[in-house]
Amino acid sequence: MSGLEERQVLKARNVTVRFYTYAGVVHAVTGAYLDVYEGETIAIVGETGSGKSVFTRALTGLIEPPGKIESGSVLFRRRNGEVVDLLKLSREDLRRVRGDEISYVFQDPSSALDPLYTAADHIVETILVHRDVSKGEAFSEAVQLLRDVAIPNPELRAKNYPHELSGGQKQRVVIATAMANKPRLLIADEPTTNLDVTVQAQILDLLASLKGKYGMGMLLITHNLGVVAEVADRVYVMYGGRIVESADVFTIYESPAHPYTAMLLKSVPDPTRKIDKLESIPGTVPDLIDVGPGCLFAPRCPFAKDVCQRQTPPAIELGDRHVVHCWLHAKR
Amino acid sequence: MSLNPLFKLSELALDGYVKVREKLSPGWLDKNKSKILEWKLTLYALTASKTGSTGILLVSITLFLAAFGPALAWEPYDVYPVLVNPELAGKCPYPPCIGGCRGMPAAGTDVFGRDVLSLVVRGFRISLVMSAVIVVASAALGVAIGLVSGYYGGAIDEALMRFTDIMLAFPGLVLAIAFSLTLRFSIRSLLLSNPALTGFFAALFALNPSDAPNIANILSLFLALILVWWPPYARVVRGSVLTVREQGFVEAAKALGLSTTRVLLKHILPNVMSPLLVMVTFDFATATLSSATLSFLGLGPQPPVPDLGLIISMAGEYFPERSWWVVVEAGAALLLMSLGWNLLGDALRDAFDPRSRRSMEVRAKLKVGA
Repeated sequence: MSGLEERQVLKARNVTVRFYTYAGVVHAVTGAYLDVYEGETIAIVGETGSGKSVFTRALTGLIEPPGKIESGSVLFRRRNGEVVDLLKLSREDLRRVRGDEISYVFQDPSSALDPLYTAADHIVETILVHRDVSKGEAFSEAVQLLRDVAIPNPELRAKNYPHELSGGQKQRVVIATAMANKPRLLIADEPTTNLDVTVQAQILDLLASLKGKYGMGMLLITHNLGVVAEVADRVYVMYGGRIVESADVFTIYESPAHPYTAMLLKSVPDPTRKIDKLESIPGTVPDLIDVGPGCLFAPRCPFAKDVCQRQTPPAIELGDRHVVHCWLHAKR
Repeated sequence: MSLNPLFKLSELALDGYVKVREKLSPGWLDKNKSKILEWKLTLYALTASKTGSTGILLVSITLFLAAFGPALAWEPYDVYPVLVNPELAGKCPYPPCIGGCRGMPAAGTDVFGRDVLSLVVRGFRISLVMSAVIVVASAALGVAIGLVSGYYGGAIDEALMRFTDIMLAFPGLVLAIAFSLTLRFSIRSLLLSNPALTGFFAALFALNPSDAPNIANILSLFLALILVWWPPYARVVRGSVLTVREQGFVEAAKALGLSTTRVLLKHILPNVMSPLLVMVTFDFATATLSSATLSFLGLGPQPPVPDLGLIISMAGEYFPERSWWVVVEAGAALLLMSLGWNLLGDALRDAFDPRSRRSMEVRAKLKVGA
């Protein structure tokens, strides 16, 4: 098996996740791939239901029945330099990676903390599960982490229950918990969705500064293109459970190759211009139950050709790690 | 407002305990300072409300009588005065009397001439042990089944819940009767062949070890009740687990690498505790009443065992004009017990809910001396 490049933290290939529901088989993620390098911020962008959350959960096998990871490999370089395929690890080994080397921050801070435990309890628990330190040491580490995430009065706040914290503070505690073991990769699943705009900016700044401080890779899942432009180095665009385009952030904004990316960018209102009507993409997100061959975006695509309906588009390299999955760029 | 005397008392007890620990291992106090404060706050939260303090009072009376009642009781339960004293023939049950009792007990007697109050004081032991064992054992069984069923879902859930349905489909009391009748003989022979075990249970119920058949009856009764008692617990716990496991913090706990056992015991179980706690306390009362019902049907212990249910059912023959005092006294004991458990359960629920508890603590902080 081909290993990882230098400084590469994670390499996922051909990850496919399906959900076997009563209504049929949901093709939630099909053939998705991802590369993360040290100190890099990757953004995964897509509409609701595009499979971005499922994809990132699948990276560490966090898929519950009726969902099933059908295929794929997720190579990950551990702290000791060993390269492992996360999808082939035993449950117990995978559990040791989660929260230690790969950590998650989920979108709803109000439910991500157990109401029966204090802020410090959450952090201490995460530390004790993965490391052999005393409770007292873990607690002082927890206070230090709360200071790192810019919570005022960390000694006092450490003993607060979640309902005594504001939304922004809760998300900071969640981030501190995720950072507890200095992970090599932090996966933030829409970390700012339920926060108000000023707090959103603070949390993004915080994540960026933590990334610099601990030198970890960061995977940011969002549907906010403004956030992407602000913090990301490279962008993966997902549609209907597939990756449709990936490139560095400038290329995506300057010369999007996939019609979906282009339309997505156009639907972001430009504050410098007065407009009568907001742009939107006609049609709705595809139903992912029992999908056949063909491009899933074809029904909404203004440039759709015959071949788009019949055959799944191939991956086309446009150079400089810019990959697009679209027949428009296929050389005939 | 002065501090609750009940709180002062429990604080005194806690301080005494802390002193002992400190003496055994110096430095213990410093290490556990915040924990001790937490305990004190819990105690305060419990004693601050009228419900809580009344509940604690009644439950302590119950516990006290259950522990020391058999030693306090002034009459042996297995000597019938009517047989010893021929003069009493035809006069029992003897009504309560105040002054001019001519040697008869002031609280009245039952049909065998025994002092009812003395019997009731003894009766606390059996009632408490019965309800505690039934409720704790069946709750443990039901919680285990409910947790596993709700958390794993799928085929495991289906199998466990259909089995629970089967158990629920039978009328509980009828099933318990069947179980207790089939279990009784094997338990009886087990006890007869094993005097040490008999001695243990005799001491537990404060009965005479020669009463082995009656002890076997009691054991079969509560084994039978445990077997029919757990399904509602499994149902309630499963239902709560289904809502709790969808919460973000369960997913977060998994994503942080906690093991399944840890997620279940540390994050899910505590979050389904409040409905469970309320159910357990209510069941303390119901279990007592159910065992009394079975006693009444002749499936429990036989006379002379001082079981409260049995005492009441034996009075039935003469009810009301020649035995009302028996029913009132034994019934009051049952009422006291069940009321105490229910009030305590309500107060516990308030104290364990961080939302209501925190506001109590804020009020308490100054007084506790934090």
